[in-house]
Amino acid sequence: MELKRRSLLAAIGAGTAAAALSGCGTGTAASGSANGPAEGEITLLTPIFEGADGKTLLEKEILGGFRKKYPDVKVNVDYTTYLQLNEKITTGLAGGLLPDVMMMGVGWIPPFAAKKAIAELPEKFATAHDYEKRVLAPSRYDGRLYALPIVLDTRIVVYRKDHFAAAGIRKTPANWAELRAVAKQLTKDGRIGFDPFSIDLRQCWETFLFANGGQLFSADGKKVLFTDARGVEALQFFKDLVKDGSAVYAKKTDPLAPTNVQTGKASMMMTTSGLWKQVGDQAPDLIKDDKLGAFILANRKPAMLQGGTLVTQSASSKHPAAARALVEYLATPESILGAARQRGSVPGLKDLSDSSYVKENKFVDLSLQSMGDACSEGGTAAWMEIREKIKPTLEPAIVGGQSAKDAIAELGRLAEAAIGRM
Amino acid sequence: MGATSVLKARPARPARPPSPTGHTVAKKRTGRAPTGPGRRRQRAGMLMVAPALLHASLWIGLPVVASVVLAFTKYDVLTAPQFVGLDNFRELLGDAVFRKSIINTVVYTFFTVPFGMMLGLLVALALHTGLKAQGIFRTAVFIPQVTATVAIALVWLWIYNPGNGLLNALLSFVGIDGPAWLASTSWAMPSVILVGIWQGIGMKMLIYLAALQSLPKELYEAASVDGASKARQFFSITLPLLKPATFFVLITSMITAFQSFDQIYILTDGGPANSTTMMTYEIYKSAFREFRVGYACAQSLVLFVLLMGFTLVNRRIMGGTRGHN
Amino acid sequence: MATTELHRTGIADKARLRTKGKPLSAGRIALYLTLSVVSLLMVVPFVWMVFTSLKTPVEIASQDAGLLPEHWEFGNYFEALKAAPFATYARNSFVIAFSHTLINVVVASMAGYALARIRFRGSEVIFYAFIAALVIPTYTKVLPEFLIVRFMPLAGGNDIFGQGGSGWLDSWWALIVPGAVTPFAVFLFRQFYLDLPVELEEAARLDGLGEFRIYARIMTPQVKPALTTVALLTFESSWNNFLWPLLVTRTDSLRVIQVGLSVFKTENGPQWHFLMAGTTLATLPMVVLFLIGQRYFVQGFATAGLK
Repeated sequence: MELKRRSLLAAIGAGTAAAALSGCGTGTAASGSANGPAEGEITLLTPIFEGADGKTLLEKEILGGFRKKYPDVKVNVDYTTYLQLNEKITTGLAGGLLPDVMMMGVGWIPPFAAKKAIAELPEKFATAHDYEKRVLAPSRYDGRLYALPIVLDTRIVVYRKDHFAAAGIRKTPANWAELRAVAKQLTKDGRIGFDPFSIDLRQCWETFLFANGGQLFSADGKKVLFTDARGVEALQFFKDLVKDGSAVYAKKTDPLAPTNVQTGKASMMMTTSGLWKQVGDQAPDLIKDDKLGAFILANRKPAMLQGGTLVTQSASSKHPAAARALVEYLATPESILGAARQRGSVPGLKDLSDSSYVKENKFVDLSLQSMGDACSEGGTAAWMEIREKIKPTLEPAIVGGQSAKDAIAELGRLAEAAIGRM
Repeated sequence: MGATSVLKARPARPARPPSPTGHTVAKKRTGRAPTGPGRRRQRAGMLMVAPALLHASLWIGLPVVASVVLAFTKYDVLTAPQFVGLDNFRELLGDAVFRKSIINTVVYTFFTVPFGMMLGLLVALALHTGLKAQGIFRTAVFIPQVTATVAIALVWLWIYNPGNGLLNALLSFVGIDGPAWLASTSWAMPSVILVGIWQGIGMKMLIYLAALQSLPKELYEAASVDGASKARQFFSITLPLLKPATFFVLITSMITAFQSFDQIYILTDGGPANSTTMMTYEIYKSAFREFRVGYACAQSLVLFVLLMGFTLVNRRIMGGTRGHN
Repeated sequence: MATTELHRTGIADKARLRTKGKPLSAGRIALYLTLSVVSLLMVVPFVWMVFTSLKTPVEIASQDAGLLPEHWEFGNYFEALKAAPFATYARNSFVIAFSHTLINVVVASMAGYALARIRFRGSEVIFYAFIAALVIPTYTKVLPEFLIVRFMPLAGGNDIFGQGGSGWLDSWWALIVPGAVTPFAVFLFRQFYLDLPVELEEAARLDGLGEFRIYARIMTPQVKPALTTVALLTFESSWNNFLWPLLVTRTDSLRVIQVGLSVFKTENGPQWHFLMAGTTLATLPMVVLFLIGQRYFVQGFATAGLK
């Protein structure tokens, strides 16, 4: 009896494994044609359009318009949070039930495109609207288009104009030497001059790497390039700031707390373009009194890290024509502007740079004007793996005694191993 | 069924001297199948455990089998699993971060479990004495269990904030310049441990409270008549009788500690510099952030073996839980 | 086993002071004071959550605001409730938590009883299997569990091999069945049944009661605190479950309260006032449930009657 039970279990186990296998099989096989009429019932997975406003915006306005244009397509919306987006996608992939249309972050496209989980989009989508050339870079893999941007979020330096004025500083720092000097000058009475640590260390270091003229990976994504002097210098710069006392790791902003630049605990900080809206909600006086300014980080060149949410189409959609129509529709200026306004994000289209929303939001305006300096993370099929290693591997150089050189070398080893496994 | 089975003496008797009649199956039997009522009892036992067993086999057993199989594969959910032999385990050996997470997990468990259990028992004893308003106190102690993790994390982040946090404000009263708690590689772990103890007391208290209520009052009456002090009663009656509950609390607390995830996720994200990363956190990252399911399964297998090992050791130390013979 | 015969050795008196508190008024007062401080430490986050739910975003973000809200913004609650169909979510959560509680209490107590009181072939192995099941972390099981749900044969358009449809995904089955019985509860019940004296069941057996009746009529009423504990903990963890319902559902009408609350956790700065208002509303039923449930601990062994 015992034996029988055991063999039964084993048989069931083998069965699941087989099911998992075939699930993956179906996951990669596309069915139907993307060129046929757009019809059928499709699912949209979205980590954005949250809250009551977001839901109304998506379901009433955007999808309302879509329904008028494509009356034969029914769209089911599956909301998730950014934090759980991975779990949703992982289980969907494993089960062979990827949503027809998905929104995901910058950097996710190459790994998914490399494994043929998402479908290639026609090149005409790239020219349908007035995209800044840079903006579509994260949407491409191997030169082909796989996604369209919905909203962008950028990493910029925000500073307190009142602190600058009080210290007699007239212009924003144009390179790291100036930045370091200004930060030191502004540090006093428990206030820190520059806070680079309140955003994710990964994204912060990447911004500095790009501003230093460095790169993460080679164009084919097979070679690690950040291990050169430029990558080390970027990390060393944080160490220098900490040594000066003008940046303090322990004083980074807590999740609930208002940002350090908002409270005046820091005179400059690395932050996102979304801060404008947040300050507008939390401390409108700062905006009214014109106390906040922003500039693009620069050393060898100006660099603004650009992240954001892209919309893409599953390669296994049963209704590819309908899915493609939805991707196209979600990327139209009207849809984008609404989403950007709701989140305080950057709409990635030049057409929208004169819209009242962009003109009123100084950080968004600056970001859109600086799109030529934008850089993005990712660029290798091993990115999902490497991105997780960056923060914990670089942290010891900042909070521990490790040298910048060693930390970067260690990260380089981990990244090469990850690429080797692809 | 069971023609060659050796049925061990059935213990299951705390507190009272074994009854002379004993159990039908309490006697050693060798070489013969139980007959009559004994056999019926056995069948009843199997039937009663069957629903739970079936459920666990399907929803836990099967996933475990699948995980064990996947541990020997490379599986990124995008393409079919690929058999890679011991590659994942070989990589684990050289994975310094995972090694660190094992050490962190053991340290965390070693500190949260005993202290948490002691405090849980003390609070349970205090709230067992028939105080006025003890329902309010019980609820208060249990509240961290139901409070949203995000609220808990935010309050603790504020307590630990090195600038305007509560803890350093209190320390400054006695002239101590507090450290940067969660941002310091040496203080982050103790800080996380404190939150773990704090959050776990309610659950431990609840189990102990329930166990205390089940203790036979006659024993205490008899002891009082004998003139035994309360302390003596506690050590001679309460503590031995709480053994099954203590075993339960110990095992489940250990498992909970080994699997703690939420507070790490929100309080420290495993940092700084991996100083608070734990095994479940690494498993989560491998599977759901890096899409390396095979590797995550290999990591899970290590966790499973470690935890089962600890459980068996504990059972050995506690001398089993089936009463006292 | 010596229980009534108490050895006289001089072991620590402090346990008595701290725990058993003689009716000395000074000791009592100290006990009350200690408990009050402990309770206060425990409820701080909860209280903070309630107060935060009554503040404006500006006040939440302000540095020099006190713990108490300046103006009590009860409107936050109405606004938060308007953000999503919370009545549906709450109903769904309740249905799931209630089913889980009911199934778990019945099935796990039966298994726990059998494992504690009946020695049958394989019972020891089965007991260890349940402990082993307890050891598996959520993130290890979740993907295979999802696959089982998705490839459930003959459900949701699936054929006998689990292909073709979506199985139990997006259905009540997926929400209720996988989490209905917990090894935790089986283990807990076993430990509580272990404690009961044999005389109870022997008397019943002499009266000719079958094993199932002994379990249901004689033994189970003796472990009421365990029943209450399992019921409370099952309901609470089911009510607070977030990841699984999020993964297996898609349609709004099947979403649960914790998933619903995540609409306020927006990427660019969460809407704390709404999040805390919603969370407070979701937590209050659990607190009330516990407040009521803990009273049933008192009835524990009172009716044991094993003289």
